Amino acid sequence: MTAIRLHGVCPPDDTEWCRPTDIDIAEGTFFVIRTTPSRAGRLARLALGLIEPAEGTVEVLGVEVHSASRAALDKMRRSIGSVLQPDGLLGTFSLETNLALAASVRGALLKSESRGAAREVLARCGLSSLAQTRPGTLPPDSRQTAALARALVCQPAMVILDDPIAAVKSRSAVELYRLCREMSRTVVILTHRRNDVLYDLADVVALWDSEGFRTDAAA
Amino acid sequence: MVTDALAFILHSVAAPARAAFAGILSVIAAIGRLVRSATAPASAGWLGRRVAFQQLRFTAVQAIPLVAMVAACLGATVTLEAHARAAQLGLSETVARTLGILVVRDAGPLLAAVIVTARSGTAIAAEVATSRLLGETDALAGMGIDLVQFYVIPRIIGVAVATALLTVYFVAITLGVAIVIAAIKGIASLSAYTDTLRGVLRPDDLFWSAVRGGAFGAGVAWLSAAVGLRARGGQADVPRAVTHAAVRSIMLLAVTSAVLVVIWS
Repeated sequence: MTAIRLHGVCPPDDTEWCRPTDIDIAEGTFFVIRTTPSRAGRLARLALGLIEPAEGTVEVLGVEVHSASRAALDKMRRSIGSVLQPDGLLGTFSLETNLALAASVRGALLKSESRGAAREVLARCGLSSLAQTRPGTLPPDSRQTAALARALVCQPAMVILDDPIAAVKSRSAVELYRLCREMSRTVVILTHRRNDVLYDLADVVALWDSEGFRTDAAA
Repeated sequence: MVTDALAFILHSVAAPARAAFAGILSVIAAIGRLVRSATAPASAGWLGRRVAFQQLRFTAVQAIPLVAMVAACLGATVTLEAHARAAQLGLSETVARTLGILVVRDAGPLLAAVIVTARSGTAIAAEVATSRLLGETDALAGMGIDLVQFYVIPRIIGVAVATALLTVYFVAITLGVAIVIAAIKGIASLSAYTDTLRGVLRPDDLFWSAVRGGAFGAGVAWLSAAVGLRARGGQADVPRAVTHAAVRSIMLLAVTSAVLVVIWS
């Protein structure tokens, strides 16, 4: 089954995307796409239904995103963990509350259960000591790790991560990418630069530039 | 020549009419979104309740000194000024009556809501617009959280309750100061002033005053949050959202208050 399928898609008001694009990402894969920040942001937002394509169709986890009912769209979104740029961690709440909110929505958990789920993922990401800290006071690597933890809480069916942990040291990054693979069946990572650590872990690596989208193990 | 003039007139009339029509349609659409989100299953749950409580605390509790100061100044100024003018006309006894009706039925809810606009409406617009620019709204929507449920409804509830409470507080302080000033200045004794107010006000007037204040507060919160959610461009959108929220809220309050006065009078 296909996790994400873009067919002849062009986002609105975009000069960089250039031409209608077809992308197929199979469920159960660790899929890495190397592309520009602009394309990465557009692709992630198209997949989550946050922007509508000017033409073409987007299908995610069996849901045609831009013609789906509101309930179907919400259900689809709740089975996806995402890290967008900017990361969108809520600045007025602690990391634990940020993750608990995601857990309560994604897992339909009660407040105490969602806090438990949040603490568990924070611990696995090595952020237990920062659970009560607000995102604004964190160094970049911890903040990125926290955003990734929010995407992973309650083990979503798929994660879409736009350059998620660029500031994290490579040894920790490997562990975090492994955690992604362990906690989510399908992992889609959009990276802006060549990343050997990521390429070693990926099932499929694709390059997406002005010449188009192509799968390439040596990308 | 005549055709050109007619075309010019039609164009001049049509453009504002179109803008007004578009404005009405956008308000109807916004009300539709609000109703749809209010009746949908809660997606923000406990955090939405926390946001509403924080808003209530910010708007009601932390605004008390400002409201007290404005209410006390209003009570003192109106009592002294109105008595000076009324005494010249031999209408001293009407001062308490007029002040009571004016403050409880009209000025109390209106001025409390104006203070809430200045303090909380602008803060809501700035906070929501900033959340939008920082990607918080995209992150929440991407998780399947209804933005109206998270940003708008808790603030409407918090500000509505807070403004209702502030209205009661405002009315009590204004009338209390007026009574004290009147007694000190020898305009009327405490008991005479109180009796006059009792005679002119119905028991449920204060309740309806609070209800009106609450409705004004809900309108201010709704407008401010909605304006904040529409921020898109860049950092300049935050001050723009704040200005729009303040201007539109005050226009809404002035027009609604005037319409209510016309209907009730």
